[in-house]
Amino acid sequence: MSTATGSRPGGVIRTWNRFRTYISKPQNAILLVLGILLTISTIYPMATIVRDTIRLHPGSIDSAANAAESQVEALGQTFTTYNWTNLFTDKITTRVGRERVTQSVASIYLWKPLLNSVLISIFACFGAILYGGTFAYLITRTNLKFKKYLSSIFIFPYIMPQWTLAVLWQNLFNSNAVTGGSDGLFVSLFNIYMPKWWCTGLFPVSVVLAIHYAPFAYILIGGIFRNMDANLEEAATILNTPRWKTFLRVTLPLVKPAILSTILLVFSSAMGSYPIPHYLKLSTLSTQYVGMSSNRAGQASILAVIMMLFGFLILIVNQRTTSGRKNFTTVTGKSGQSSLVNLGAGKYVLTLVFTVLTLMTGILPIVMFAIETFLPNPGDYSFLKYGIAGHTTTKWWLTAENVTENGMYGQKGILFNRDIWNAFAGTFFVAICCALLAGTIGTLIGYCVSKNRRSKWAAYVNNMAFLPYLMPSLAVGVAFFIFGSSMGIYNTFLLLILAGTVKYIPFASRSALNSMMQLSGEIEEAAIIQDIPWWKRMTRIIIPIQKTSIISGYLLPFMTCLRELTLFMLLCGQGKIITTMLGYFDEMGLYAFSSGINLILIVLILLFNMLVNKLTGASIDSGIGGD
Amino acid sequence: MARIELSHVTKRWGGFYAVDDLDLVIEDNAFVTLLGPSGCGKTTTLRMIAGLETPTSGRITIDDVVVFDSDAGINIPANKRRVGFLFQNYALWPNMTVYQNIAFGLSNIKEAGLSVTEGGEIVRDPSSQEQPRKLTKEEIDRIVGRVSAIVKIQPFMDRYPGELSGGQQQRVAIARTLAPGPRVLFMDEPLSNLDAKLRLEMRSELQRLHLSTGSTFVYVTHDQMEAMTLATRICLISNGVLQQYDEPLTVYNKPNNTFVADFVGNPAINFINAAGEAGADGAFRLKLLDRYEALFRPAKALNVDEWYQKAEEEIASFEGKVRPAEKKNKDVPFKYPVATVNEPEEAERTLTHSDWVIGVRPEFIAICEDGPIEGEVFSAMPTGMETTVRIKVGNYLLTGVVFGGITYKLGQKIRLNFTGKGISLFSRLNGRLAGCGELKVEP
Repeated sequence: MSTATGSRPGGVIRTWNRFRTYISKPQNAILLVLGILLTISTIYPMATIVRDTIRLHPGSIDSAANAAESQVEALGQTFTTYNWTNLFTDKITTRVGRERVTQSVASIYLWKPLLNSVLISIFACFGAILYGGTFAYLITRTNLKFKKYLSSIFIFPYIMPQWTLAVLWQNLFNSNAVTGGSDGLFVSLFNIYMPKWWCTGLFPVSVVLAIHYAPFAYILIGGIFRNMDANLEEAATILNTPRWKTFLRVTLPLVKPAILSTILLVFSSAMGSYPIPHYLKLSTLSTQYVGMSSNRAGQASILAVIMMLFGFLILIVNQRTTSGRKNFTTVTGKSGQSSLVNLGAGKYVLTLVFTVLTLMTGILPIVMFAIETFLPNPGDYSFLKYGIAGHTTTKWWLTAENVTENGMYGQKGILFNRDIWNAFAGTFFVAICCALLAGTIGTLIGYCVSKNRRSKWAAYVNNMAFLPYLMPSLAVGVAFFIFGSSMGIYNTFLLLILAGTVKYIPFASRSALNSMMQLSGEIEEAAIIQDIPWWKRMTRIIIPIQKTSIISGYLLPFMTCLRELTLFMLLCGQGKIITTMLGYFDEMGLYAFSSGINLILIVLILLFNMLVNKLTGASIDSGIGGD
Repeated sequence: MARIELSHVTKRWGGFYAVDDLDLVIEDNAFVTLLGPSGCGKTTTLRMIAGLETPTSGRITIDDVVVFDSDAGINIPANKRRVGFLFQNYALWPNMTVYQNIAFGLSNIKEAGLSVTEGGEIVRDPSSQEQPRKLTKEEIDRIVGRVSAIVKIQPFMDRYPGELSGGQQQRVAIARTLAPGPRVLFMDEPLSNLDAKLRLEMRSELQRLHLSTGSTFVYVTHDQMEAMTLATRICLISNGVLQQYDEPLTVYNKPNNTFVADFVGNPAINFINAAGEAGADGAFRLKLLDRYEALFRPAKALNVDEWYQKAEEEIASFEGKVRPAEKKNKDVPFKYPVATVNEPEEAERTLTHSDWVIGVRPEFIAICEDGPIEGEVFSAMPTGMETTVRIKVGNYLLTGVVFGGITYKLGQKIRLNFTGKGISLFSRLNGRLAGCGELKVEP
C-alpha cells in the first residue's frame, strides 16, 4: 500500500501495477492460462490436419507419385500439392465385374461419401425431430399413459453405445442369402428375407441414427413444452382459434429454437459418426477416411478438413441463431396447471405403440446381446426355434483355458480373458482421467466466464472450449491422430486422455456456466469482503452450492468416455480400450465376444446412470416426463 | 475510524457514464446515504469504494491510504480494504448454518496483535511485534455471541438461511458483516426487501448500531424517507452526477435545484411557475397561478445578474469537461412537474432571466379563512395524524398537509395562504436555487 502523498509513478510501473491487479483475481489468471492452453490443444491439432494434406507420407501414393515424377526427394522437398490435385482432378480405372470403369478419384473418394454423409445427417435430423418431437409433445401435453416409464426408457438408445442399434439391426435382419455372413433372427425364426436396401446402406443408417438421436430432440423440445406457459395457448383458444392453427402458429414457433439446436447437434454428430455406417456398410466421409488412411493418408486428411469445415459452419449457424431476436423466453414462472390434451381412445393405442417401440430400441438390444453370448455359433438360433435348451452354450463366458477348437481361436472365455479385462481397465482409466480433467477445466471455465461476463477474452475462451462440441468426433480424432503421431505419443493413454478431455470439456463448461450464471455474484462478494481466500471460497461456498451441476459436469464426460469409439479408434491399438477391442473381435468373427462386451458395457452404463440419478437427483430426462 | 475520499471518480461502460467525475469526502464516523432514483449510479459508487467494482478513472482513499488510483495503476482488492458490506439480498451462504455464516469470515483472520475482550470485541494493535495468529475457537465463539446478541438472533444459530424469515436473514447478514469489526460498513439498500413495519424497526436499529460501533456507514437507498431519517449527510445523485451533498435538513430546506427539491419530501414539493423582477428593495414582484400577484422577499439579498453569471460559469465548466468518450446518457435539465387539472396548452417561448419557479413545501400551505388565494378541495386524504389535501386553484393543483384529522368535502370552497420563510425560488432557465425566503400573495 502506498500513501496518498506518494508521487505519481511512471508508465511502466503503472502498466505493471495494472497487470498485477488484473492477474491477482483468480478468475483472470485462470482464464489467461486456460485460454492459452485451449488454443493450443484445440487449434493446433486442427492446424496439423491442414498441414497434413500437403505433406508427403512415406509409403502412400503421394510419395510414390512424387518420387516417380522427378528428383523431388533429392531436393529435400517435403510438401506437395499432389494430394489435392490427385483427389480433385485425376481419374482411376477400377474393375467392376468384367468391365473396366473409369471414374474420377473425387467421385469415389469424396463426392459419394460426402453426399451420403450429408444425406444421412439430414435424414437423421428429420427422423430424430419427428420421432423425438412427437414423443415430447405426447409426454408433456397429452394424457398418455405410463409417462414415467416411457420417458426414462426412451432415452436408452442415447445412453447406450452408438453401434448398439446398428448391431441389433444386423442381428435381426441380416441373412446369408442377401448380405452374406450368418443368418439373423428374422430369417432363423420366421424365414423372412429382408431386401438388401433394408439391411444395409442409406436407409438403415438413417433410421438407426434417427433413433439414436431422438432423445436429443425429446430432451430439448420437451424442455420447452414443459416450461411453456399454458396461457400462451389458452389465449389463442379464448380467441376461438382452431386447435391446429394454435399448434401451427403459436406452439410450433415457440419450439423452433429447440428444433434448430437439435438440428445442429444431430447434424454434426451424425456427420462424424463412424460405427453406424461401418456396421451397416455405407460409404460416408468417416468410413471413407478410415478406409483410405493407409495408402492415401494425405487425401484422407482432406476429408477430415471438409468435416471440420462442416463443424465450423455449424458453429457459425449456432452463433447466429442463439443470439437472434427470436430466442423467446418461454419460461415465465407463472405457468399454472397446464391442461392436458385428451387423446380419447388413442391414448391406449399410442401408449401401446410407444411401449413396443421403446422396448424394441431400449430393451431388445440388451436381450439380444445376452442371447448372442449363449449361441453355439453366430446366427444359430435353433434353441429359440425349437425350444431346446441344450442348443445353448456357456463356452463364450466360461472357457478357462486356451483352446483352439470350438471356434474360440485360442481365446479364453470372457470372464477369464485377461485382454478383455485389461481393455476394460484401460477404458475406466481413460474415462476417469478425462472426467477429472474435463470436469475440472470445464467447471473452472464456467466459473471464470460467469465472473467476467463482459470480457471479450472470456467469450473467446468459452468459444474455444465449446468448439470441439460441434466438431464431428472423427475430425477431432483425426486431428489428434496426426498430432499424436507427430509428437510420438500414438497409442498411449496420454493421447486418449488429451483427446477425450478436449472433446468433453464442453459438457462440463456448459453445465457449469449455466448454473454459475444463476448464482448471484454477491454470494461470493460477501466472502471476498471478508478476505476469505479464493480456494476457500470455492471449496466452502461455490462448490457446495453448485454440487449437482458440478457432479454432472464430471459424470457426463465419464459416461460418454466409456462408450466412445469414433474419437478413440484412430488413436490407439485395438487392445488398449474396450470399444476398440470390439472391432478386433468383430474382425476375428468372434461375435459372441463382442456381444458379451457390449452387454457388460451397456449394463454398466445403465447402472451408472441409475446411480447418478439416485445420488444427485438429476436425470437426463428430468423435469420432462412423469406425472 | 475511517475517512473516505473520492476524487474525480468516473465509471463508464463505453459511452454510458454510470458515475461521472464524482468528488466526495465521507468524514470519519459519518452516516452517509447515497440517494437517487434507480439506475443513477449510487450502487456503483458504493461498490467502487468497497473494491467490488473497478472505476474507469479517479482516485479513492480510505483512511489516507490510496486504495484505487487509475493514474498510478493502484487497485487494492476488496478483501484487503477491511470493509464490511451488507448486500441487498443478504447473500447468506445457503449451505452454512447461521453460526457458520458468521464464524466463517472470522476463522480466516490472521493478524498480529490480535486479542478478543471478554465481551467478544476484537482489539487490534497494529504496533504489536507478535507473530500473526488466527483466532481460537473460543474467541470466535465469543465474537459470534456478541454480534448475534446485538441483532438478537441467538435462538437461530443452528438453522440454515432457508429456514429463516426475511427479517431474520437480514439480522444474520448484519451480524456476519459486523463480526470482523470493519472500519467502514457499506450497505446496499439493505431494508428494501423487508415489509414496511419491519423496515421501520430495522431503521432505528441501524441508527443504534451506528452509535454503538462508531464505524463509518455508507448506505445506498432510493427511499428518500430512509435517507432523511438515518443519515448525518445525504449524497444525492442523478444520472451519475452529484446533485447535492449536505445534511438531511439542508437538503430538504435548501435544495440545490428543482430535481433535489422534487426528489426529497413526501408529499412532494409544489412547483409554481412565476415571472417577474426584483424591485429596488430586493423583493421580487411576481405573477403566478395565472391571476395572482405576489411579493417574494429573499432571506439573503440576491443580485440576479451576478447570480446568473456565476451559475453560467459553473455550468460552462461542467459541460466543458474533457471526456474520453461522449456521454451517451446526456444530462438533460430536470423537467419539474407542475400539477394541473387539465394539461395546459402553453405556447413555447424563450425563457428569460425573469422566469422563475417557486417551490412550496406542502407544510407551508395554510388553509385559513382570510387567505388571499381562493381554491376548492380536489381530494383529501386523512391519515389520522395529518391530512393531505389537494387544492384546485384555477387550473392548478396544490398539495398541502394539515395537522390533525380534518374531514374536507370534495369541491368545498376554501382559502389558503403561503406561510413561513422556507419558500424557495428557482431559476426556470437552469433549475438552480436562487434563494429562499418569504412569499406574500396579494389578494
